[in-house]
Amino acid sequence: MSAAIVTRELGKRYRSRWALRDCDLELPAGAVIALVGPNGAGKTTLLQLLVGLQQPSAGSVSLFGRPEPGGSAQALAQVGYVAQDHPIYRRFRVSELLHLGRSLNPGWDQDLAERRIEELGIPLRQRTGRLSGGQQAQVALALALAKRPKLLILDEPVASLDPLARREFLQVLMATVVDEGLTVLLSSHNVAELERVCDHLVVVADGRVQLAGDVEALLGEHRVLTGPSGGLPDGPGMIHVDRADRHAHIVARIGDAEPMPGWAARPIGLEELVLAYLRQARDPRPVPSELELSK
Amino acid sequence: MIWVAWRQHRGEFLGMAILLAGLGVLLLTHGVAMHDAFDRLGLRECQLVFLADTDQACIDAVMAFEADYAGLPQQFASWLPFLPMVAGMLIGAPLLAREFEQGTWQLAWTQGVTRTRWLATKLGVVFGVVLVASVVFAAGLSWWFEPVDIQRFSPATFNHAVLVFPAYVLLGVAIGVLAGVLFRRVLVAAAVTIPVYLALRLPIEFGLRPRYREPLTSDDPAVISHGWPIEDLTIGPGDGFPSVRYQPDDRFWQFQLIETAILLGITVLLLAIAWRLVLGRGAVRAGRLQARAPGRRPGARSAPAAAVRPRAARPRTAAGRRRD
Repeated sequence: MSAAIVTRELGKRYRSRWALRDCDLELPAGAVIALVGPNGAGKTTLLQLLVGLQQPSAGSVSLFGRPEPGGSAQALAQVGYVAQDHPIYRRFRVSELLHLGRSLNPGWDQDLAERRIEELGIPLRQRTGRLSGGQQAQVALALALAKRPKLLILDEPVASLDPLARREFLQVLMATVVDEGLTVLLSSHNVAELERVCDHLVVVADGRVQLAGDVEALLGEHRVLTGPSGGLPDGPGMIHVDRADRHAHIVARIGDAEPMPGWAARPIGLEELVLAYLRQARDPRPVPSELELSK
Repeated sequence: MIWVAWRQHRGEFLGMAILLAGLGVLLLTHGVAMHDAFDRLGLRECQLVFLADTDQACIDAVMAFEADYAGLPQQFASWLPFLPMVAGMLIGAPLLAREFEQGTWQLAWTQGVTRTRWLATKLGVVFGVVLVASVVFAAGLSWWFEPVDIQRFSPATFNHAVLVFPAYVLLGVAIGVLAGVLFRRVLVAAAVTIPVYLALRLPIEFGLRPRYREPLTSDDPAVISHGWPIEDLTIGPGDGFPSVRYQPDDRFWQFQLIETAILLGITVLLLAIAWRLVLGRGAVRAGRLQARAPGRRPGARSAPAAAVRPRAARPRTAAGRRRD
């Protein structure tokens, strides 16, 4: 699979603070990529750098082999972007918003846009400011999809939606992705809601990429080890240790290897995996695993 | 993109149209009646001798005419100088600040149109419409005020001529635009427009305007009445008419041109700063507002940063723009 997004030593500094640094990513085309991390981890910064809404302080971005995403109209036309809280012009009618899309985007697909709006049961004459949050998100998504982008980037697309609207939004999104085969990168601070939809994972915390890879492969490489609480093993591949009264749970990157005697291994869930890396980022322990992880 | 800019600012344009229509109504009613009376009474000749001579019949006619008609135009002339400021608050301040406030800059900048074209079209459409509307408005006002004003250099005539008035309006809008870029909140930008406009306008109107050229000096009232005395006339008893420094009426258009050039110069400067901020690093600061931890008031500490950060970001973005 070729890469849709490549970043090299990408960094963004706000005065003296780095919001994101040393970000090296290679994300495959055609995948649904989840960007996960706590609030303030640098997710929005990364996404804005990818679409050229911000200029990097260090490093570079290229989309489909083309550098400088925000630099030219052709590059912009390749990417559909829905920002956090799905901003749209609230005084516009839905039809006028589609007119905007049509007049600003060379590859605009009016049929697609109108069909989607119709399927959602949103009247074209309605002012977008009067729509519910879920409907606004859907309109913003329709606007991004009707550009016929190769890459769709969504920043916290479901954060402001109620559970029902969330489910609907993701369903609509996934149906389209399957139909069109486009690359999707979406961020969230809640991995559980993305678990069903994503096949690639990027974990960001504290302005750094903590983990990136294919979901299946990552789940295959990691195990939860359970064993006696005393005399913890320490070695490469240890991600996080959770000590209970008598037992310790260890998330480790050991693949299919046999655990130490006296320890039991079980497969890991996606949420558990993400949490382990986020905790590790919060209290980093000086163990060799850091070297291991940076491969 | 032109359609988008037009649609986005349709409300403002509608407001301008209503204002023009209102002026039209005033001109057709009050204005036409006043001009009729002015011609009927033959006051044009009268006015010329009004200051210098003492033709009692003429003075009475002028006084009567002014009592009948001058009140309304004079009232308008006293508050119209604030209209450019209001234009800045209502048209200029929201122009970009609303995009930043509502986050729609992210929508606009990720369509298939470069940021440069987006900004150029937006500014072009709005400033174009404002320019046309204000020229028409000024032409109407000039016609309306003409009979009431004895002196060409009176504020009512000078401020609302077709050159200076539109220039003040453009300046007001430009102040609002730049304030919107700097503060990113519509209300703050509109509020900031007020003191900035006054701080620019008052020194120009009252400090610079009388000094665009070296004034002439005369002690002949007939000569001075065809000009603008730039110092107080104090006629002492006895020794005739004092010597007075004045600007002659035939310098009117020259002074208009000079003041317009000054105003447009400032306007272009403000817009250039706004342009650089938006294209060079506008997004950077918008991103910062977003990245800020919740609970802290956005914008509270960003103003000083504006003065400090541009230089670091500029070389890269400048290079980026040159390439496309």
